[in-house]
Amino acid sequence: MRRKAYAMTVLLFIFVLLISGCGGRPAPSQGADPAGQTGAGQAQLKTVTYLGKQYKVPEKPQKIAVLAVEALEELSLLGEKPYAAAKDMYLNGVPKEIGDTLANVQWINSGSQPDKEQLLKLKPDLILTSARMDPESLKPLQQIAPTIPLSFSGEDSEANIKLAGELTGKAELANQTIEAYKKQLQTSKEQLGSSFQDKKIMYLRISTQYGLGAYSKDTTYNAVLYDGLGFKVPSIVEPIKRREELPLEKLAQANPDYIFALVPLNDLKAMDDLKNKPLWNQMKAVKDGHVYVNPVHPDLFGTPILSKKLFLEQVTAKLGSGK
Amino acid sequence: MLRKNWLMAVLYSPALLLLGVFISIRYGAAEISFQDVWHAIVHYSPDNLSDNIIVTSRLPRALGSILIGCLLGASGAIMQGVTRNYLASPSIMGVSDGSALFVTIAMIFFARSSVELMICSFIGSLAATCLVFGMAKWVPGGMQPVRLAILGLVVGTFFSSVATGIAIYFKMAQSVSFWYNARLDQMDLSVIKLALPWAALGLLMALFLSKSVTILSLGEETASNLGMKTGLVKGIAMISVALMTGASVAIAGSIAFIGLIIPHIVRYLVGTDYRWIIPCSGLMGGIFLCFADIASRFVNHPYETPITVVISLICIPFFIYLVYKKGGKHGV
Repeated sequence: MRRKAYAMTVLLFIFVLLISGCGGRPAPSQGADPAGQTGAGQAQLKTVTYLGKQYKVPEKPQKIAVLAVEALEELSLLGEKPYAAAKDMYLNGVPKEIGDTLANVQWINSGSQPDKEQLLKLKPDLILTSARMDPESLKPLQQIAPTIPLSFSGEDSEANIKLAGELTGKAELANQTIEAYKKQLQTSKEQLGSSFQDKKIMYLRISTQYGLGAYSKDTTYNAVLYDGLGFKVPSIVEPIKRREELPLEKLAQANPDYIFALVPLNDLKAMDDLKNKPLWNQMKAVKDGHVYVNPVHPDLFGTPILSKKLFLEQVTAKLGSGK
Repeated sequence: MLRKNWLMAVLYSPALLLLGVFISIRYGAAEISFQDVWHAIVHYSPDNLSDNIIVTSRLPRALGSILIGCLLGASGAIMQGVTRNYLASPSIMGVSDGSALFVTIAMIFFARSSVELMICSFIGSLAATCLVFGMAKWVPGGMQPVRLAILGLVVGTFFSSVATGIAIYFKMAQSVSFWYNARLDQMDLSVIKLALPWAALGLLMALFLSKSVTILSLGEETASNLGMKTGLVKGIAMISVALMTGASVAIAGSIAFIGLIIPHIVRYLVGTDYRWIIPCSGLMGGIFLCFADIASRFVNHPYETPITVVISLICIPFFIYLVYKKGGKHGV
């Protein structure tokens, strides 16, 4: 009886090994072109360099699939419409700032990962996604079409829009956009003068689940406030590496003078809950009426030039009006 | 020896509680000195930031953790005494999950005032308790320790799965998840004040029942032969557990293991008389959670570690030891 059980176990083990062996696929070729050419077909290819890495992409991509907001906002600024887009990029509806960029687009079910079957069916010739995606998740996308993950760092905004320009044949427009943004920054700096140099100005993302989210000094809209406009980095922001949930008592102790808060449109209750807290109401920014909720649409990402441009306009208007 | 331990537990507990409150107030994300604490106690001023941090953030957190620990400890003690099951506790028996399901339904379909959520929390706890013990009566040998624990886990998993499913369907998963997860750092004095009458009622019922639970812990037949109305005692005990667990989940989400572990530690100190086990479990539960909350601020300073992680690190080895030592034995 025991021998029978032992023999069954060994047979089962061998069977499982055979099944797993049959299910294995050959490893993708590790060449200079890891991006698959399935979607690109026989189209002419060119090499683009983005943040020190080279990518082989179609000469004139006709069917760009956008899976992350970083790329979408830059394309929107250049007047380009993608062929396909991930459905869950905007959970509360497409911001009006995006305009009609997503009109008539082919939607791809996303969630934590984009639907690969839909992508295969749509046969894009270029996929633009985000560097927030882990490398393992990028591999199946690279089998479908050349895939470029765009950076989410505030320092790479120019590189992102230049890439978008190079891919869509609008490199000149991309450079003009960058120059226009820099000019806008300079104008804002002159307009605001030096009266805010010793003020503590902060940007926060507030939600019920994630509390008071603060970012490192060069991430998203902080890049506009500190690097762009030259405001002093508050001591509470200085040590943040990427993102940190600030306890209310720590924020109250930091006592900022101005707060620009982004709150999800389906979670405005988070702001109402905060207003019931004595510690929040004691802060200088709150007492002086210098808390600005959703100066831009909360679903704009903050890194792309479009987000930064719109945020800069609002910051200049709010601070400049002396409200 | 037992009497000496009991005396030590009673004498040292108030001192430990005070120490816990003081450390909880003194240490946290913002820098607060001893002078600030003294100023808040003696010369409180609503315009003083440190005073406000202490009174509106640190003190509610300290008091809330003590209250919740007390409620969960007493709930666990009652459950273990009534069922004569060393694995009985609000988290394992699905009581917390029942509370979460009803609160999820309330958040999706009704208005979301704190009072309504709290009442739904109580009803949910009661429903889960009735379901678990109802099934235990129906299943052959259902009241045996491990079988009852399995029934509790099954019912608890069912409730929490349904809660998750409807929360995702109605796109409320984030709000519900935030509400359900232990959130001692978000303690609100107004919610504590709201829950206090219900919690006090539950605790008083527990203390009132302690003598009956002692007799019941000797066995159902023994208790019946001594003239006790076992059905009535169990019914009141369930209501008491529902009130205490419902209040605790409503204040700060679900916190596991306290109701399981604390009564065992207390039993070791004071013996098998539930007239001491129940109040001492409440006391020890409060002290334990207060210090666990303090530890959660230092494990990964200056960042907060979830309280459930800290409690699990301490309690899970003890839980494994319990299962190993007690095996399939009945009776506590």
